[in-house]
Amino acid sequence: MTTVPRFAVVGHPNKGKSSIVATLTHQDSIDISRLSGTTKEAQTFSFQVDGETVYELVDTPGFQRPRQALQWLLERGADASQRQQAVREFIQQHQGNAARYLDEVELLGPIIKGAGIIYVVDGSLPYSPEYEAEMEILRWTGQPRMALINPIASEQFVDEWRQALGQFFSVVRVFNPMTANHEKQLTTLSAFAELKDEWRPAITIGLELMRMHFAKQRLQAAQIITSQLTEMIGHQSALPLDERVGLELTKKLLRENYQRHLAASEQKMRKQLAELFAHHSLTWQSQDLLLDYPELFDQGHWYFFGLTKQRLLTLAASVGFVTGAAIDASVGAASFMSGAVAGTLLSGAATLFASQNPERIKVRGLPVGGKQVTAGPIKNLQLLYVLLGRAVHYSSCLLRQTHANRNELMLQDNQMDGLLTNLEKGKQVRLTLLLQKSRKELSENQRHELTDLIAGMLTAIDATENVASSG
Amino acid sequence: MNSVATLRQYILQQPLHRAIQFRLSVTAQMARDDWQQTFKSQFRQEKQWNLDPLAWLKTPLAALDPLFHGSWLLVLAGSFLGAATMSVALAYRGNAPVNLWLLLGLFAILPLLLSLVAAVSVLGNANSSNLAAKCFRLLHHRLLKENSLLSNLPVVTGWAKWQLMYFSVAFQISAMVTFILVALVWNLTFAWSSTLITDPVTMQQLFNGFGALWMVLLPDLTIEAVKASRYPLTQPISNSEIAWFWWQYAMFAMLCFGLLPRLILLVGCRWRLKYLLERDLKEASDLARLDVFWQGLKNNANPAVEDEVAVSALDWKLPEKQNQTVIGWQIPGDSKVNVQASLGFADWQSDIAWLNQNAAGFSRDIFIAVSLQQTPLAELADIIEHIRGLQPNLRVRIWLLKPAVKMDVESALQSWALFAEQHQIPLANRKNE
Repeated sequence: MTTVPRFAVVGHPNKGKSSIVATLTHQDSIDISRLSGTTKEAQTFSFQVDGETVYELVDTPGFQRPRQALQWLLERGADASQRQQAVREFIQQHQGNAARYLDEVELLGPIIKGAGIIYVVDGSLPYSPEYEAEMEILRWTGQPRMALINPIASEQFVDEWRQALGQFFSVVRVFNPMTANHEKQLTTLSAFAELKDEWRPAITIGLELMRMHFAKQRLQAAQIITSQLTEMIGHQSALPLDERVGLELTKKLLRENYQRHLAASEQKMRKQLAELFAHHSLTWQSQDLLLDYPELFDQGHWYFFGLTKQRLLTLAASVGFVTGAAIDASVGAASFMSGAVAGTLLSGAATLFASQNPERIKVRGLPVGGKQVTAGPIKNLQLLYVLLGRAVHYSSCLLRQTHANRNELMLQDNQMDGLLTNLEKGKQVRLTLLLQKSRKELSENQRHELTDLIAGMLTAIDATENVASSG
Repeated sequence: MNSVATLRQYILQQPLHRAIQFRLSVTAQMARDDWQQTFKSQFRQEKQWNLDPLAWLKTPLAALDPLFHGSWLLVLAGSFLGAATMSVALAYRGNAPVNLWLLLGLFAILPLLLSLVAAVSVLGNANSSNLAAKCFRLLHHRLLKENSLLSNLPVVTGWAKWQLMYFSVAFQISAMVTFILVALVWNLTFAWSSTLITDPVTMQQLFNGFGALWMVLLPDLTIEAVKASRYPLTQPISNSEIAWFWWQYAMFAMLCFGLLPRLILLVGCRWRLKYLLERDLKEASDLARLDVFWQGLKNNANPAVEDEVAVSALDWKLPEKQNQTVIGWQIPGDSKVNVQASLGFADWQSDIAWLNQNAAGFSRDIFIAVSLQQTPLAELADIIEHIRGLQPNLRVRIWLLKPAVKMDVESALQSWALFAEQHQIPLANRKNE
C-alpha cells in the first residue's frame, strides 16, 4: 500500500495559495478571494482519479504574525533537535478559537501531522527580508518542502526570488495557476517526488493515473461532442407553407426556429463539457451561430397528417387490402380475393383524390395537409465543419482553462485553422464522410469512430499547447 | 472513498436487471437541465454533506419498469413455443414413426447453428449491433420516449441479448420436457429416411459421427438397428431396445447441441453484460460529470465569505508637515519615502524595543507609511496597538504608498480597506479622511 502524499500550501496572505490548490486539484468550487486574509481555516482538497486519491493539498490561511511566532519558538527551541518539538508545543499552546496565533496554528497543524510544505510567493513583487521569519518557521518543522513562485502580475522578480528561496528550499519552481496546462501540472507533481522518498512510488503511480485521466477526459469530451453534434446535424424543423404568409416569411420564421434549436443544443453540449472538466461556474461569450445557407431549406415537401404522399398511399392501400381480405375470408374465399383487390384499389384511389388538395381538409379549422418548408438535416459541408469547429474550439479552451481562472471564457468562433491539419489525410476523409452520414443515422461503430477522431483532434491540440508552453 | 466510486460499486453489486435500471436512471436524472439544483437541494434538506450518493437513486427508473418486468414474458413465450413445436414434431399417426432427422434438425442442428450465430453476436463488437440499435430507436420513438435507452445503447443491447438467451433456453428445456412427457404416455417409434443415402452402413457412420459426443454412454448402434429403423418400415418395430436407443440418442442430441450451448451462451451473455456495464460505469461521460460535481459539492461545504469592500480613490502623496511622525512598515532602505524607521524587517523584539524607546518623542499625528504592494498583516495591527498602548492620545493612521510594481491595485486597495475596517485603523489617504 502506498501513502497518499499530502501537502500544506502555505505562505504570506494573498499570494495565490487557493489558486494553486484549485488548479492542482481541478476544482472550481474552491473559493478564491481577491481580498487578503479571507482563508481562515485549513481545508483539505484531494485530486482523485476513479475514486482513488492521487494527492491531497491543504489550503491554509497566510502567516499573520510570523515574527512573533518565531520569537516564541526561539525562546523554547535552543538547538536543532528541539525545534520540531517547539513547533508542536506552539500549536498545542495556541489552539482555540480566540487564540492570537489562530492562522499560524491552522497552517502549521497539517505540517506537523506529516504534510509536505509548498511555500508560495508572488514573483511579481520583489523579495524582501520580511519573508524570512516565515521560511525559518517552516524550516523548524523539519518537513520536506518546496517553493512555488507564482508570477501573479508579472515575472519581473522571479530570478530574485529563485536565489533567495534556494537557501531555504530544496526544490523551487515557477508555477502560474492561471495558465498552467496539464503538462506543467504533471511536471510540478513530479517535483513533489523529489521531496521525500516515501512519496516517490505514490507520485509515480499518480503521474501515470493523471495521464490516463486526462486522456479519458478527452475521450469523454469527444463522446459528448459526438452525441450532440449528430443530434444537431440530423435535426429537422418544419413549418406549413401558407400562401397568406408567403415563402420568404415562412423561411425566416423557420430559420429562427432552427437556429434556436441548434443554439440550445450547442449550449447543452457546452454545459456538459464544462461539467466534465469541473468548470461548474464557467461563463463564456461567443458569436451566434449564423445559418446563412440556402440549401438548408426544402420547400417542396408534401405532407398529410405528417406523412409523405408515398407513405400515405401505401398505408391506405394496405388498410384497403386487409379490409377486403377480411370480407373474402368471411365468405369462405368464394370471392376469389376480389374483395382484397377492390379494397386496395378503392382505398388507394380515395386517398389519391383526397390528397390532391389537402389544404381543404381541416380539423378544427386547421389544415391537416399541404406543403411545408423544412430545414435540416444539415447537408452543407461548411456548416458541418463550423459546428464541429465550434465544439472542438470550446473543448480546447476548456482544456486550457485552469480551475483558478474564473474569468469569462472568450470564444473566438469559427477557428477552423489547424483543426484538420493535425489529422492525417485518410482520417480527414473519414471525418467528412462520418459528418455527412450523421444526417441520417450513424451506427454505433461509426459513432465510436467519430468519437475517436474528435478525441484525436483534442489530443493533438493539447499536445500542441504543451509544446508551445514548454517552448 | 469517493462517492461516485461508491455509486459505481453499488450499481455493480445489484442484480443485473436492477443495476441496469439504476445505470439508466443516472442518465435520465442527469439529462434534466436542473439536475445540479435537484442534487444540491436534496442534500441541503438532509443537512448532511458527507452524503450517501445512493439517496439520489432511491428508486430506479420507473419508466422502464414495463420493459424490465415484462422480461419474464419472454421465458413464458419460449416455453410455450418449445412445447408446441415439440408436440407438432412428435405428431404420431398410427403406424407412422417420428422422423429422426426432423427431430434432430429442429431441436439439435438448428439450435446449434443459431447458437453459433448468437455467439458471434455476443462475443463480437458490442458497438456494431445496428439491428439492435434500430430496434431500440424504434422502441424509443414509438413507446418509451426514454432517452437513457439510446444513451446507453451498448449496455441495453447486451441486456436484450441476455434476455433472448433466456427465451432460447426456455424453448429448449420446454421442448425436452415435452419430449419426455410424450414418450412417457406414447409408444413412440423412431425412423430415418433418405433419398440419397440408401446404404445402412453409411447411415450408421453418420449417426455414429453425429453422436460421437454421447455414443460412449450408449450401447453400440448395430447395422441391424439402423436397417430396422429405416422408413418405410418393412415391419413394425417390436424391439423396444431400438426405440429406447433412439429416444436416448435424441435426448443427448438435444442436450448437447441444443441446451448446453445455450446455457453457455447465457452465462457468456451475463459475463459480457457485466463487462459492458463495468466499462460503461468507468468511462461514461455522464458519470465523470457527476464525479467532478460531487467532489466540488463536498469541498464547497464550508465556503469562505467574500466581503465586498469598495475604495474609490486615494491621495498617494504623503503630506509633509512639521508636527507629524512617519513610521515605515516594511519600507525598503532604498525607498525615497522619508520615515523615522522602517519596522517589520528585523525581529519582533527589536521593533518593540525601538517603539518603547522613541514613543515619547512622537508627534500627535502618526502615519504608518506602507506600500500598497505589501499584504496587510495582523502584526502591523499589533504594532499600532502597541503605539496606542504607549501613547493613548496619539492619532495613528495608515498611509498607503503607490506601488512601485505592476499589480492588481484595486484588489490590494480593497484588502487594505478591509484590514482598516477590521482593526479600526483609519486609512489616512482616503479623500474623506
